[in-house]
Amino acid sequence: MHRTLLITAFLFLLNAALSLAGGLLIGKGDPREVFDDIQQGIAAGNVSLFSSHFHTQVHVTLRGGESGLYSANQAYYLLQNYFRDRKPASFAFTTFGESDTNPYATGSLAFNMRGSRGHAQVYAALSHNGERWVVTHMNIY
Amino acid sequence: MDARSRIATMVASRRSRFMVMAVFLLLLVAAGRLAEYLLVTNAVVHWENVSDGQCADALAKATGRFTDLQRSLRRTAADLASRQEVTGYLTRGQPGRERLFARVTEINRTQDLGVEIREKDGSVAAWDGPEGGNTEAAVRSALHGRMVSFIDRSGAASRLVVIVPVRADTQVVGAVSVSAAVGAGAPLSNSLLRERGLGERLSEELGVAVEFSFTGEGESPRDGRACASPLIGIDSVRLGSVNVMKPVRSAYLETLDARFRLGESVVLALLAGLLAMGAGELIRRIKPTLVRLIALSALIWGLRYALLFLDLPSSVWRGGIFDPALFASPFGGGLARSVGEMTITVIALALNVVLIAATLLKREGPAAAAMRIPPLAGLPLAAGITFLLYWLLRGYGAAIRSGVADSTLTYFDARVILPSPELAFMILNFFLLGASLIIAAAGMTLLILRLCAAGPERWRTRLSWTLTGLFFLTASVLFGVFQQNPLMSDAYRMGFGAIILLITYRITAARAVARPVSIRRQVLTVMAASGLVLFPLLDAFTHDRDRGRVEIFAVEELKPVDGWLKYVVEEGLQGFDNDTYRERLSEGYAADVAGIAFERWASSLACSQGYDAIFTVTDPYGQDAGRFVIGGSVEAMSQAEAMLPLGRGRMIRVRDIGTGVNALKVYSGSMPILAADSSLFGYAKVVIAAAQQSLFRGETPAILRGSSRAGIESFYRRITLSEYRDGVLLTTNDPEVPIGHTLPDAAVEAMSDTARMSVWSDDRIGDEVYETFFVRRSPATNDIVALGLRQLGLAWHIVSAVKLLAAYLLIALLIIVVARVAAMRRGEGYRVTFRDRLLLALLVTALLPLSMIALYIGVADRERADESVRRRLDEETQNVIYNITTHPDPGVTILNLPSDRYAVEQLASEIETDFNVYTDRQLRASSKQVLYDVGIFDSRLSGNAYARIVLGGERFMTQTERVGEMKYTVGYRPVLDARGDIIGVVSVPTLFRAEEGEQEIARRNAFLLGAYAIVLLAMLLIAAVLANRIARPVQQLTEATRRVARGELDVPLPHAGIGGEISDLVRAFGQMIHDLRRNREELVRYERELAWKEMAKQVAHEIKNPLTPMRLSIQHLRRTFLDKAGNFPEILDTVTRTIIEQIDTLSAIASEFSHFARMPRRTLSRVRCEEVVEEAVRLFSQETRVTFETRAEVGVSEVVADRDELRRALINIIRNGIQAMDGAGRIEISTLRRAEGVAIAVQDHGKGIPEEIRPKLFEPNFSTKTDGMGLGLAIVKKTVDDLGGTVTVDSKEGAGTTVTVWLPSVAEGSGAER
Repeated sequence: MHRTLLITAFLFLLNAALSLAGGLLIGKGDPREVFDDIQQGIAAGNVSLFSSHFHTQVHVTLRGGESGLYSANQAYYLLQNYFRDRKPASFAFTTFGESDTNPYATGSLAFNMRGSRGHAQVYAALSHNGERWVVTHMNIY
Repeated sequence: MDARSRIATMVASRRSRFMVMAVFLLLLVAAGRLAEYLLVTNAVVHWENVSDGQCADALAKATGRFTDLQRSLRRTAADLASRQEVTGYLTRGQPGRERLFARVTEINRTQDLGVEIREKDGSVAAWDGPEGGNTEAAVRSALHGRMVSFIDRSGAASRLVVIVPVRADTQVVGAVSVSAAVGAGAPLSNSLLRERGLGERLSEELGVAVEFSFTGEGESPRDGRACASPLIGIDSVRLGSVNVMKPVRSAYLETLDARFRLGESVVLALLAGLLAMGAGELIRRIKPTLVRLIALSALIWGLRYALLFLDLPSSVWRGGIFDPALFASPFGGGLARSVGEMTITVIALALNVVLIAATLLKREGPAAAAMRIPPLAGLPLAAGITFLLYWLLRGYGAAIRSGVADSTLTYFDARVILPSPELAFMILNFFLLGASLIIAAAGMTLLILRLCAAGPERWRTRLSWTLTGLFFLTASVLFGVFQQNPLMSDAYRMGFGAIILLITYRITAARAVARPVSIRRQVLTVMAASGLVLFPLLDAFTHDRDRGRVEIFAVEELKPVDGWLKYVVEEGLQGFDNDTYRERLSEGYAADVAGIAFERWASSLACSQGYDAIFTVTDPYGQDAGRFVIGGSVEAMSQAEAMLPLGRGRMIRVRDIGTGVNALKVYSGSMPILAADSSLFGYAKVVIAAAQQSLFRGETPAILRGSSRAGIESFYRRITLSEYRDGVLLTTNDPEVPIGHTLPDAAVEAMSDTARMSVWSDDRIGDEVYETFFVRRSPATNDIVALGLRQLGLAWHIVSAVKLLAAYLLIALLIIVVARVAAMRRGEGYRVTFRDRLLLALLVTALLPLSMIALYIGVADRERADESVRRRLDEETQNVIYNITTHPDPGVTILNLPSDRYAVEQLASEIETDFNVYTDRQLRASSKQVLYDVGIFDSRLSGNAYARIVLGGERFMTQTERVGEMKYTVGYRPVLDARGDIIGVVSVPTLFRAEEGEQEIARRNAFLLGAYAIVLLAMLLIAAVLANRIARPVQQLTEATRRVARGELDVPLPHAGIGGEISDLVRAFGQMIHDLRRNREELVRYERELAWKEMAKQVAHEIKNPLTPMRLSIQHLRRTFLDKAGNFPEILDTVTRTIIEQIDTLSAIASEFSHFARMPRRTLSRVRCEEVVEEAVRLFSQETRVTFETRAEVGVSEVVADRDELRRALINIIRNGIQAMDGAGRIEISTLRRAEGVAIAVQDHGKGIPEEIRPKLFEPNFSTKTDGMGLGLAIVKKTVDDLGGTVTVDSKEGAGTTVTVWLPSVAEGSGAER
């Protein structure tokens, strides 16, 4: 009985831990804040700094890589892999398109890859989803 | 022992080997760190040298590769030039041009080379493959006896051309030219074109940017950022240069660091594996099961996370199943971030679950045994576990949903028959997840059953099952009430519960009769159950994903986003700011400059996304130097381009053209291309057009579309786009939708609510039902756009099921192979049963003809399809010729083609056929002129077509051609004048109808595969039923033989009415048993008589023994009395005591014989052996010098016996054991499951039994002891024999004795009382 109780308790705890694992994301109300997060994340090559802003499906286009509609989780790993190969040297958004429905920003990225310096244009676009702005397009070309 | 021997001994031991390897790996890590430190220090201090060295190495390799290619081309050309048919034709005109063409075509087909044979006057005698460009000067040189090579830059790709003279008797009689692409076939990559140039291939291989430049004589210093080396032709002429970008120091150091980290990760992973093996050895020794299981689980998951932390194998194996573009889930911090990572995780999970289940099942007793826990506590606990089980099911559902939603894999695609490796791995993941769930669920159900097993024993089983069933039913319903998003329907949950209860019932039923567990059957059950729980979820989630995709296509794609399109234009312009383009512009080589526009477009986002576009590069005065146009909105884009100002800065303009459905937005931009000193080379202009209906960019040929793979065009189900105004169809891209079609009622009703923007509804068009998403273009309008998906038919689902089945079979095969290998490693062979052989034979017999028929149908179908294509091309070429020779528009007659390319495109659109027209071997007009303009296709008529049509006089022919990886068929037909002379050749390629072809393949697959699947399943079923029916009597007969061999003559035989030889065999066997039984009865009777005689003799003997001392005592007493001896009283006392003792002995003898002869009446019942063992052992508790060890194997269950009698038998055996150990020592009693029965083995560690007396052990009256009658073991034997069991003795003198009692276990359904 002792063993059974232990197993049962273990299973309950495991289940509770798994249920708590998926935390709710707190969105931001200003698109500029989202773009700031994206800018910081890209400059640091750290996707997790802005992946919480991804819409459930994101259009991702990467030069020399993937292009299409991906889930937020796929987009996270695609970009993570992209930045693993291309270490950002500098990045900043230079243009912001003000729009009530689809704000966007573009900027220039310099990165190191295979011993060389490369450059790419970044485009990020947002949509309003309920109470928060979410990233719907992420293009690095 | 010397040092060397000591080391050898140390290495030989396993533990030492572990340690040596671990130390070696640690040293390797340290050495890596040291090497990295040295390299980094060297790079920092001597950066210039390192940089130059890197460049020099890469240059040497790149130059070597180019030289190799050139050498190979020269060999091919020289080989062809020396052929007899070449020299023969060029000197004597024999053996004919057709032979030359055949040879050239063969080289082109097998080596993908462009080949030409020139006559002495320089004219082309035979050719195939891409044209060698402007070769006249080079050909002249070759005709003067020199070998030459040069770079042709006229096409989309730069080609290396080698020309060698053809000699006959030392005279030059002609020349052979061979060419190969050194740049990419086209600088874009999509589903059709995946070629890469030599530079790209080398860049990837060497890890530095390598670029081949064929722009001129000068090197390309790139301001010192690159190093270069000249490329020399075979005639020592400079062909160009290879440039290698010098590494940037920080980037170089990062790359160095990344490489060392990768190596270190691999070494650390090996170390982790080694440590895990060591830890596994230690964990195996842990006694407490729970601790051992927790440690084992921790080890498995520790190892899994170690791999994740080390980023292996993802960092080594980047593509394929480790590509997150196929699937990525954030579960567990990256445990399922790709298909491959998920596979590793689910293998760990399955291993963990199986280990836990196997350990617990081995350890636990029978399932139905009640737990010693009060019902008030047990039942709520059972209910809780039931809910937990449904939570696990939801977790499984969430995993499957993630496998669909977080994935771009297409699970139900009838266009392909066999699943791709990635899809197969994903299905393996689903299978392992399902199997783990089912095993865990069955284990939890067993636990629930035990918690529910309260009340009197006779009701326990029924009650526990009833309660468990109720818990399952309640939980499956309530789960949907309490859980907002249960992910699955009530019916699915109930079905799942039923499956689990059924599996658990089978397990408990098997264990109740202690039947040996068939692993194969269990695996098949788990596989089948896993498929059953998977398919409905996969189907539902895929359907949800399809709908989600369509909604996103509708919302995102219907409205062009200004910012995005401006960005596309900006990106297009930005790409012109490139050193290579600047060099080419500065050089001003016309063909090369013209190619810039196409190349820029091909590598732009506009191409990737498939927009209609114009890319232009001009000279400093604004005159077009190169222009590339693609798409259907040419007029609007040209207007926008013409109005675009050219200035010193970058500028972007947006124009709206048209309104409503046909509204178009044109985005245009221009930018100056400046040299380093700000002098102007020219201007770049980019124009793109975005229609409202940008969903379908059908104007762009598929071959020129970008790599976008998740777009609506590549969606596996064709999407129909229609637009309605006021409920009536306005436009559609599907010809099957009739004009005037109205919105379905459900959609009309839903959209009558003006606040509602969209709705899903079924729409019937003709015989087809479309699952359609209706979305309002903007609030308060009645313009509704509809995106419809044709509903998937039954055949489609069957194909999907077959694919799933195929994947399952592959997995099953894999598991079987692994199991076989494991069994072979353990030294176990595999026993193929009669049923297996029969099933195999039936399947082979059935499948062989089926396969042959399928093969025949497949070949015939392919031939029919080829013939159908051929017939269609035949008709279409005729139709094209009819139209180009009789069309009223003078712009499209054969004589003045291609005076108006748009007229040709218009004609192609009208007759719905793309075509090309050749005159005098060269392309005169094409409905896809752009593909020839940019050099993707060769403008010269195919050599093979020329040979067969012009030279051979064929009136129609088809041949397979290739572009990139895409193969397609082209039909050729000559255009004849009134006299019947050939004035041109028309070709119609099938290339631009890939989608049609795919749909056709899907339909054919669905039809054929569906039919085969049904036949296959029916065959499997019939073969299995037949094999079972035929094999069952043989199996029963085999089992009966086995039991007869064990001495059981009361065995059930197969039904005699089977017929045939087996029936005769059954009858003969029955007769044999009957005879055996009769003989045995006679033998028993004889033995019994013999035994009674023996017993009478023994009784007499035993009685005589005490009578003699009695007689002697009485005689002595009498003599003493007659002699009137003085000590008479003492003698009397002694004698009477002796007589009483002897009378007691007689009484004991009588009792024992009475007991032996008249055993008490038996009361048979179902008896648990381990309980009887415990009772027997308990009786010896006063034996303080004896230690008892009892052990019961899992699954050991009940036998039918008289509980007291069995206990007495065990007491006899145990007592003998104690006596053999002189009252002190250890006795081990094991209750084991053996051959459909239970074996109780009593092992002592006493003196053992001498071999000579072992045969007499069970004879009545045999004893080695001074006390007792020697009937103990005889009684044991009689008891066991009467119960249908056996008793055996295994003894070793000085070591001890093991007495084993085997009793048959309770047959299923046997009564408890007899």
